[in-house]
Amino acid sequence: MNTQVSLVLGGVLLSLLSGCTTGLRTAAPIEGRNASRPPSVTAKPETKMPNPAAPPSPATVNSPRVYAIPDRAPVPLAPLLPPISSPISGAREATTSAAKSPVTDLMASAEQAARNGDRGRARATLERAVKIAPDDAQVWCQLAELNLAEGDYEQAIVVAQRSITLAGSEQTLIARNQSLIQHAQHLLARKH
Amino acid sequence: MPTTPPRRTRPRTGYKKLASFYFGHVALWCFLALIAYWAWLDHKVIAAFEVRRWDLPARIYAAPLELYRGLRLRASSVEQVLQMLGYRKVQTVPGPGQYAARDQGWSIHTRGFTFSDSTESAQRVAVRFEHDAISEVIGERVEQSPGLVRLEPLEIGRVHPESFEDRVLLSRSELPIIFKRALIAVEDRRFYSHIGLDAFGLLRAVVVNIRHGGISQGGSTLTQQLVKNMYLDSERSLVRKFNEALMALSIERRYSKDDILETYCNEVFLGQDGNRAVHGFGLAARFYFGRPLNELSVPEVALLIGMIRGPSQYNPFKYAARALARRNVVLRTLHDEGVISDGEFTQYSASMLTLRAGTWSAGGRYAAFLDLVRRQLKDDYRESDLQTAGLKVFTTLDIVAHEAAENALQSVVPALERGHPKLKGELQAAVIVTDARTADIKALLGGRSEEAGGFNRALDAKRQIGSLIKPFVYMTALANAARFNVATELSDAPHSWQGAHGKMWTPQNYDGQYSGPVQVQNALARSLNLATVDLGFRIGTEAVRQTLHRLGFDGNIPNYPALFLGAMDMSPYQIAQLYQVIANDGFRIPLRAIQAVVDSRNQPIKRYGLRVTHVLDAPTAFLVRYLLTRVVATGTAHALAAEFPDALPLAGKTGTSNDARDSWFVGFSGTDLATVWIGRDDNQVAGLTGAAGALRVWTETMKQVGLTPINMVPPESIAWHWVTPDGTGLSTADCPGATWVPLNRSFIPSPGNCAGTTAGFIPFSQPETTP
Repeated sequence: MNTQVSLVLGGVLLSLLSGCTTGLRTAAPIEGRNASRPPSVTAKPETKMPNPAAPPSPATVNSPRVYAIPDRAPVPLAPLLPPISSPISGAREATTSAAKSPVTDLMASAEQAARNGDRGRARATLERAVKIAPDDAQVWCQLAELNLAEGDYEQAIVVAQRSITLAGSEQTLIARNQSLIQHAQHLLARKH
Repeated sequence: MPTTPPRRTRPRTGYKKLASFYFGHVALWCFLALIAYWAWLDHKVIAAFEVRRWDLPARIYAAPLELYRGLRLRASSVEQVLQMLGYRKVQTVPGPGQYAARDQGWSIHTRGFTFSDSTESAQRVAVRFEHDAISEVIGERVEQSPGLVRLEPLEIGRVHPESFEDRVLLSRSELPIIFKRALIAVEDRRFYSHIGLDAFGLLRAVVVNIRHGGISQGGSTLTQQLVKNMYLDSERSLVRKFNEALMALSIERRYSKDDILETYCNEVFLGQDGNRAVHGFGLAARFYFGRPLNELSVPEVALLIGMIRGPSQYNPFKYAARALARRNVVLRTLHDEGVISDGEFTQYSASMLTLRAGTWSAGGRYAAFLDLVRRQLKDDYRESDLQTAGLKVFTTLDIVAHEAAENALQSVVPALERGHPKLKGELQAAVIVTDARTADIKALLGGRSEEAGGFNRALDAKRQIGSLIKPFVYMTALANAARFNVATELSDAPHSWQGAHGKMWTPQNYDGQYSGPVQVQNALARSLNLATVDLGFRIGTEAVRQTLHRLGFDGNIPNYPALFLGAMDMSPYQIAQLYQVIANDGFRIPLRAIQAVVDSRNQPIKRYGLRVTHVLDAPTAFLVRYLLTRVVATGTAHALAAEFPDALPLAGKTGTSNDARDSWFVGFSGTDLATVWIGRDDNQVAGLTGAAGALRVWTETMKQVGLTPINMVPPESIAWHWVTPDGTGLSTADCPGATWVPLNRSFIPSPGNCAGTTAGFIPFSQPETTP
């Protein structure tokens, strides 16, 4: 019993640590559910984003300038506490290899804008990310967090629900959204 | 008052003394009056110059093209956008506003733009393509996100009064050096040294004009011209000349040459475009050449400068030869003044006029979409602010999708008329393309051809929706998962129902045939009327009305059974909003045309953010989406499955109203939802089913937009099972007629009797031909 509680607590802590970015930025994972389909229903795996692992090659720009793409540091999305050794830090490293995804950059700059108190800019940037990757559960999760920060609890709940419907089997992200919903519901109840 | 010292000369007569006295007084008073007058003029001119605020109409922009890896977009579509933005194709390394072909893609030098959220700097970008999608984007500016580059947005319209002055303001730093040198060489050679008036310049102009045999140089300084444009009417008189000179002196006394030059360049009148007066070089460059001033070649700059003398007389669109001759006169002056070399002069003089092609924003392009934008702006802004405050309105219009829908209408509608002489010119249409996820309106066409002020059918044509209602009847049933699943057996058999006033109602299937017992999923796929009415009576009209209200429909809904067959009117816009919920997993987002509005200093005034409501539970949303994919896979829209075998699953629903007066199709891919209506304005018979008419427009549009499959990964609340043919019990795969269907996990039926079922088994591959 005690171990169960600590596991749950640990899970919540980890999910808070990780923010909305958990794991590789690829299409919503579909493994594990396709298996239940018979061959008569042709399930097409999503071809949303190509494999982000292939780094862009500077040689492709045919001009005198060399377009240097520096190796980027991992985008710090949850700097509240020092990273601890956990499965999440592994996931973070995986994120690093795909850090050049445009959506990751937008999420990071939205995070930055929100931290600087410029929520309008944060919102515009996140909505730009939503437009580019509308099926990305992490973007919707971050939007829900922004709604929460803005005090728009109803909207935070709905947007977190939207994130859950897109999260597939990313349990950490689902848990993150669920705790956000609970939090928002709590604040909403207190407001009324 | 000068007084001459007394000298010993001959004594004056009394008469002369008197005259001198009076003359002196008069001169004194005149002088004082002049001083006062000048002071008054000075005050007036300075006050006006200090404000220097021009009325600027709100500018409306399309959504910018975002370039990033993975975007499904052809290289040719990117080129099309670049062309519309006035980019020029070059063979060399591109400069700003230019692009060049590079290995499997383009090398583009963007212009940069300040958006509502951030500024996108001008930079060189390499974009590569593979299989009709962008495989790589590398921007030169690594401090921005190098894999994500925004082109500047296309300006698609303005909000302005009936007749008005229009301009694109330029700051002094935006005036190219060659342009400034040319302007000064031609209009006011001693601009930087005179005090506002230039006697030498005037003399010189006369000499030059005599030598060249024509007016190539004017005598007025730029300052005088500016004063004339800004403060004085066009009356030609000595008094006015006099005022002009005094005011020019005033302005020169108070302002720097750069101030004066900048103001001049924004003020000068350079042409007329219908009701719109083209002022300033910023707008003139775009109006005549489709590009910003700093991208113009020397001959193009020379033409603009030449037009100062007579914008209508030298209008290159109307009088090409005269404009060319005028340009060459200016080029010769530039050569004489040493601005260009001998070789350049010869080369430039021989070059052709290079004007922008096609109509500009003044035409009817995007008329229906702009109509929607203006209606929404009117709710939030005063008309005067829209017309004068220089607001920038960022919309969701996708110029590639818009062009696709426009092309589809232009090719399909005449083809539909070709077989029917009676229809010639009578068919009308409306198309709305929205982002299936964000509900952003990508394209909106209100008729087969766009005209400003025309009837906007996409918003205002309320037409009978016919079978488009059916998914909402089935949705209402499936939401009651204890009673209905996608395999539930319905009765497709002739039947009469007693109406409220004793009248009998005997609906028919479109083809007059009956299918007998039929599963829900096949009844909707084949759009069977009688099976749908059977289902409708089991749930009642009130439940269907509630569903429509919950999904956000706020119009009138009939309360009689013909509702089940769509005996009600909706606009294409309302239909698009209802189907948006199905395409978006049960989440409703209001259709959006405006994203943000900023003021003239790019400060955000209002954002039109996403507002999401959850109106349909996840399992029901999935099941309805599943039913609509069956319409494409095996039902009335199977033509799509044949057309786009690689993009399946796709979802959609055909609609045909009574006597085929209205032909509808709504369909969606993983990314886009498009609604198409075709019919006649007089509501006469068009003779087209949804599949025969609207579906073809949809197909042609989406062929150009590009299709991605719908993500049919079921939510946790859905499980796939074999069920008996009537859907009442679980089954095994080897049971005859057993069907593999998605079921709401909370309501899985218990194992059924394999042998005892009777419902007709309809194989998946059987094509249907009803509407």
